[in-house]
Amino acid sequence: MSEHLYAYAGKILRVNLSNGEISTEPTTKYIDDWLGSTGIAIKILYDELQPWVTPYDPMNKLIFGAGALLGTPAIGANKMSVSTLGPVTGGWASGLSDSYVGLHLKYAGYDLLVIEGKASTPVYLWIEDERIEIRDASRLWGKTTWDALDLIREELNDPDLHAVSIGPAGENLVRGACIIQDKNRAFGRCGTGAVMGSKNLKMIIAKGSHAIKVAQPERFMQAVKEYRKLYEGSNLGKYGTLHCYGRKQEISGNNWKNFQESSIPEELFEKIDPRITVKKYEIGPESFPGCGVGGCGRRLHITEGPYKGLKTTSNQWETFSTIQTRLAIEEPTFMVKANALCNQLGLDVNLVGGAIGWAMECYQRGIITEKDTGGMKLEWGDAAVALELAEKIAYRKGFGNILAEGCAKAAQIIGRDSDYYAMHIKGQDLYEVLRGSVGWCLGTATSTRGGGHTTGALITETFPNNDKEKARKVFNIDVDDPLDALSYEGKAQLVKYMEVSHRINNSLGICHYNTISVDINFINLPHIAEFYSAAIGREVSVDDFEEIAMRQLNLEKAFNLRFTDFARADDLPTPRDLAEPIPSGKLRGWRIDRAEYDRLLDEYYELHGWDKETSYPTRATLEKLGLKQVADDLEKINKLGK
Amino acid sequence: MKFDMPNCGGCKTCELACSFHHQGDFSFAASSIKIIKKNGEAGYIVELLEEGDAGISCDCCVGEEIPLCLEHCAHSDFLREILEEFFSKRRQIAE
Ligand code: SF4
Ligand code: SF4
Ligand code: SF4
Repeated sequence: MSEHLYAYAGKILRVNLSNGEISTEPTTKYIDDWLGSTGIAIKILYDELQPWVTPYDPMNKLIFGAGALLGTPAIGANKMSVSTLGPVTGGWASGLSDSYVGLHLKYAGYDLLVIEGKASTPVYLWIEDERIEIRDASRLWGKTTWDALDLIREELNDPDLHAVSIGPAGENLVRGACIIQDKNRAFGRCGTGAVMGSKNLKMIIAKGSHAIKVAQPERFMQAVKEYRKLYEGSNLGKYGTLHCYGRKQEISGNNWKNFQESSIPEELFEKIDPRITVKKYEIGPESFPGCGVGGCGRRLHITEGPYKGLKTTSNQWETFSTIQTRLAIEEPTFMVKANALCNQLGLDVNLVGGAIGWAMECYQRGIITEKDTGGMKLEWGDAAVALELAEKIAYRKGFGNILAEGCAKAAQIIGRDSDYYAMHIKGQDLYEVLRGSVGWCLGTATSTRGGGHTTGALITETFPNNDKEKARKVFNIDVDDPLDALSYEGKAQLVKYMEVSHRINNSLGICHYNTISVDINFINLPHIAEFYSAAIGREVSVDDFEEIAMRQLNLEKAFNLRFTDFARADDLPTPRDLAEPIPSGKLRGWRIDRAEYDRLLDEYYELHGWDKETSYPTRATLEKLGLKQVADDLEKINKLGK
Repeated sequence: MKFDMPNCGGCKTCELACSFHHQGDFSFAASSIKIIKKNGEAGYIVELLEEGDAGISCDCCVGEEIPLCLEHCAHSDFLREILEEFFSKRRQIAE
């Protein structure tokens, strides 16, 4: 075997902000068992965080991981991850984003970056190949992510610098603060921005001038060329993730008034159609390295209405659903404004929507009054109030200081039985509409990061034009229609399939939107195994991937068991999802059948080798994955499954 | 030589493909095509490096069936026109 390590950059960079120490270690020892990025990060977190560490403790570590295929033109390979002990769920936190910083990190020679300790004053980190500097950031502190990036680009006279940074929300330890890539992409959810803020780290800039080599270049490029054909004729790039609007209405997957309703009122359906908004204001596409669909981002220039003059690339479905329709806001361009504002402030859109949605529903029901809000009226549909509250959250001002905790903790603070209206999974504000899509629901509710649809949810259920015959083949499953959103049949197995798919994507840096997650014709695990095998020069099979992904999942789970009290009850949908049938729309009257769901959860635990009563992994399961030490650890804290 | 490409998404996949043509590996540094940000307007500037520019100059992809940058571009119609114009100018200079 050749000595050269292909595809990987070869080193993990560690920067200690407390004492300024900078060191590197080889990536090699982690690769076989943990693959890359998120996989290596959870291993480091589990091994190195003592069980008594808390999220804002300088002892917590913030780990950035460039996917193992980053730096190559493999399809959709541009994602960097960030992982840490998170302040929202109190357990494993992880988020990913398209990232030029990720590519540059690899070209600079590093697969991962581990931030340790805490700087005594605001700093930013400069990574330029072997030159690593912790620099003063006092003039950047307090600035929005947009202003901070403009300032640093101007100061260094380099308009093409790429950075990840936090905004005021991260600085002010807003629980749902996130990290922003340049100006328009976010490492969503889990509050990783607050951890970065707690370390006094404002920004990271990477510039790399080296190259990434693959072991079998011809085979690799042949695969890239051939698989690009799978995207010909696809229109998933046209509106980006907003593409799912119509399908969501069909499956009652739209959030209206904080999940009270699951569809947009028919009379508004066309008026606020976000695809029309994109068509009207689009000035060009926005894409990232390798993207198969030609970019899901759309550069928009709003030329009229209350947000006239705004130029940004903010056309993400999640913002539309989690803020605009959750708050029943009718102005079509609001989603663009709200997304831009959240990115400037470094706020997770789901925390903003979740907390404000909860507050508006409580206001509707008289649980919260103007006495609580400092005189603000929290009426549904009030765009100005929503934007004002987002600012107040980021700066922790007035009522915003409570909302900054996220809906679950805000409900604890307010009390008065308001927790029923706090829509969250494991303490994290929920975006996913769970009633009406069983595989999407199971994957979201069981997710180790606290909700989210990128670690196991069956997204394909919620996307249009997927063919059941093809799905049966792709998922290798013998049920009539694997994508029948209302069916419980086979869903545990399908979620397990997606847990593997998502983890492999995340570790290699591949975008889910370029894979069978959204379109059953796109690349899948076998294609990705071909990329990866050609890249590293060793055959890695889909079975190998499955084993690695299950090892990762079990370690995420064990990490959570160490730091939280999560058990079976935390893998359930929200109380509202279990208690109320869908009130209106195409699926009116449909409800999650509690007995069916419990049976599904049993099946899910059984498939994983986890204890049905507690959800805990068993010793046999852990040992089979080479995690004997983890089994010993869990036994000590009485959390080993039976 | 610089060209305006209003429907370029700025993904830089072409840069990675180009570095592969020259060196058999991937980097931004070894690319003769550079994607440059414009100020607020749609699209990007596509710069093709020539002798005298810093960096490796574009050799019009000698030895490749299709120019690699073009082959990997998801918005290739425009890029094709740009390359045709560039290649014909290069030919004129050579003659
Ligand atoms: S689909 Fe969107 S998120 Fe995915 S790689 Fe393309 S531009 Fe990035
Ligand atoms: S045509 Fe020129 S710019 Fe394009 S890949 Fe070939 S050498 Fe590079
Ligand atoms: S020219 Fe094509 S490949 Fe290059 S950045 Fe633009 S869209 Fe991407």
